[in-house]
This record gives sequence, structure tokens and C-alpha cells, in this order.
Amino acid sequence: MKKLILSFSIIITFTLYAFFSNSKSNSSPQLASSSSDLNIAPPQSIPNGVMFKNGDYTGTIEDVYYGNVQIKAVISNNQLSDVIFLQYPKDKDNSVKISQRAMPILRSEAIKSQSADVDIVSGATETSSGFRKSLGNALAQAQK
Amino acid sequence: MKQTRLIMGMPVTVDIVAPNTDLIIDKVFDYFTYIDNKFSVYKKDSEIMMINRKEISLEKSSSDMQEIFRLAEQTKQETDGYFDIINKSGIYDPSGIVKGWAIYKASKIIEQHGFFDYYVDAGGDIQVNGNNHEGKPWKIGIKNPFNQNEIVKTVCLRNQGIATSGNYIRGQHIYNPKNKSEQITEIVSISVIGPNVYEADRFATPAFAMGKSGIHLIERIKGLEGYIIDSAGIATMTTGFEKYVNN
Repeated sequence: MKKLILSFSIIITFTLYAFFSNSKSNSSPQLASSSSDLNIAPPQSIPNGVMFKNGDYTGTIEDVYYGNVQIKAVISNNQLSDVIFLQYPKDKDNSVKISQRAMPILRSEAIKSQSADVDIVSGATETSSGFRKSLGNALAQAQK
Repeated sequence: MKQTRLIMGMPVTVDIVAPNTDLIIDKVFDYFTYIDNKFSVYKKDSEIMMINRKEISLEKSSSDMQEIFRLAEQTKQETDGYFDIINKSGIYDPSGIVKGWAIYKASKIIEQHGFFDYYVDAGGDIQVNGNNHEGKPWKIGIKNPFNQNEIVKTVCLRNQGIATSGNYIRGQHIYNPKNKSEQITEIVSISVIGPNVYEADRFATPAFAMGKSGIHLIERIKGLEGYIIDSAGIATMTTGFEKYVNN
């Protein structure tokens, strides 16, 4: 039962954070939006009632296979207000083989929101469970 | 018929363009549960954890386990070591390769029952075959890493796989505490299209780990196309990617 409550509260705070970071307009690139009807479900409503103690809480160092992740959670006004990466996997030095080849110029574009009339959506799940663990650990400290 | 269940910690969706296929869909979900019980490092009695605790040797393990280790080694060679199932603590965790492989094998279960218009989606990595419910190629949207209720690109695929690796939740304060002016690689997602989801997935994982040069890994490999998005919202695509784009 305790585990259920803990994982549920972690999921809620995650949703809180995701909503918070999406709503900060100065932190996302401005997208040119094109057409109309997005038939994707609207954001989940933010549940009430999760309260944390103000302060900074450093999570555990977690291993994701290409490096470490460590999170510091910043609580203000009893809510998660920021997530700071103390450690984040760096890319390795470029492989010698790749950098020595002549590479074609690849086309780039600014991403823009499109009509969501699709059958399926491909996106990353948060595959880095190390991130979740470190954040979960920090938030668990904030609840004590 | 379409169903979604939560397995391996992620939503798994199976959609077969035919009625009365619930028994086959059950078999597909059972297969994913079997995979989870065998390969999950979060289940203490999984075969992979028995190997990690040296309770069984690789040589004595199941044929599926040995196949995964063999495929992992092959992928490691092909990516100059960027793909490696052994993590820094010395634990074997093949999840980076098992997901795409399992989806691909699950799709074969559907075909063995005579159905060829379907898709299998596990956490955003997808194998599609044949046509959708409108009799057209499957339309797949790539999620906007900055707003997961939006899509930023649509591709049409048939008999192929697509895998997306990424990290959407990044703080605004990414720094190296030992060298604060050091820039940390700023890519947020890469989507890879391949001849099947296993090939797409096994290269999407290391391509993401390589940062901005990951798109060049995909460009280099025949049969793969990719779309990488950086933290400024600029996407770069491989030279053959546009043939899949739905306009």
C-alpha cells in the first residue's frame, strides 16, 4: 500500500512538472502553428493536494547506460518549481570513424506543430528510469 | 480491433485491421509479459537478474537470452561501442535492444495467424504492416518534444518500423559542476525509420547517446532514415527521410 501511494505521488508530481514546464512560455521555442483540429486528448487536469516542504533536495545518482543522471528538486511555495540536472550524460568524444568521413550536408528545419490526424504517435517514453529514480528520491525527501 | 495495456512499464497497443481478433491480441500481450518477466532488471526473479547475480551462466541460459546477447554484441560493434548493454555498475541491462526486438517478434505472432494489416506500439516504438483502417499506409506522427500533445511531423509507413529515443524533460539549468561553461549536448529526440522496428530501435538508442552527431550515424547506415530535434526546436533529417513525409 505504501509503495502504491509513493509511486502514485511520484506520478502526480511528474505530471505537475510536465505541466509546469509546458506552461513556461519563455522556455520552449516558439512554433509556427499550422492548421486547426488537434484531435489529441487535452492535458490532464492537475490534481490538488500534493504538498512538499520548501527547499532544495538532491536526488541519488542514477546510472543510465551512457552516463549518470542526478537531479536536484527545488521546492517553493510547497510545489515543485524547478528541476536541476546536477549530472547528465555527456556524449562521448566523436568516434574517429564518423568525424573523418566527408558528411553530406543534411537538411534542417524549424519544427512546427501539425494537424494531428494520424493513426499512431511515435515519441520517447521517459526511458531513462534513472531520471525518474533520482527525481523520485529528491521528492521523497521533500515529503518527509 | 485495438487494445492497449500497460506492460514493461509502458503502454502497449495492438491494432489488427480485422474483427474478432481478441484472442490473437491476448497472445501478443502474453508475449510481452513473458519478455518483461525474462528481461526486466526491476524484477528480481527475471532471468537477466539471475545472470547478473551469476546464478546462471549465459551458456546455460535460454535461447532467447543468448540471442539477445548476441544481437547486443553485434550492435555494439556496429556503433563503435556507443551501444552497450552493460552499464556503469556492471549490470547487464538489455532493455535498449529488447524492446524493438520484442515488438518485432510480437508482430510475427500476428502474421502467423494470417493477419497482415496491423501495428504494434510499445511506448512509442512501432512496427506497422499493410494498411490502416482506411486501406491506406499507416500515418505516424512524431511527438513534439516540447509539447507532447502536439505532433511536428507526419510520416507514412508500410511494413516498417519507427523508434524514437529522447529525453523531453530537461531542466533549464544543465551544467557540468566541474566546468560551468561547458556546453552539454542539446538534442531532445531522434526518430529512426527502419525496415523493421528492431533495426530502428537498436540504432535510435545509441544515436541519441551520441548527441548531435547521432543523425550522421543514421545517415551512414543503409536502410535507415532519421529525424533529430535539438533543444532550440531545429530538426535535421537524413537525405532519404523526405520520401516518407506526408504532406
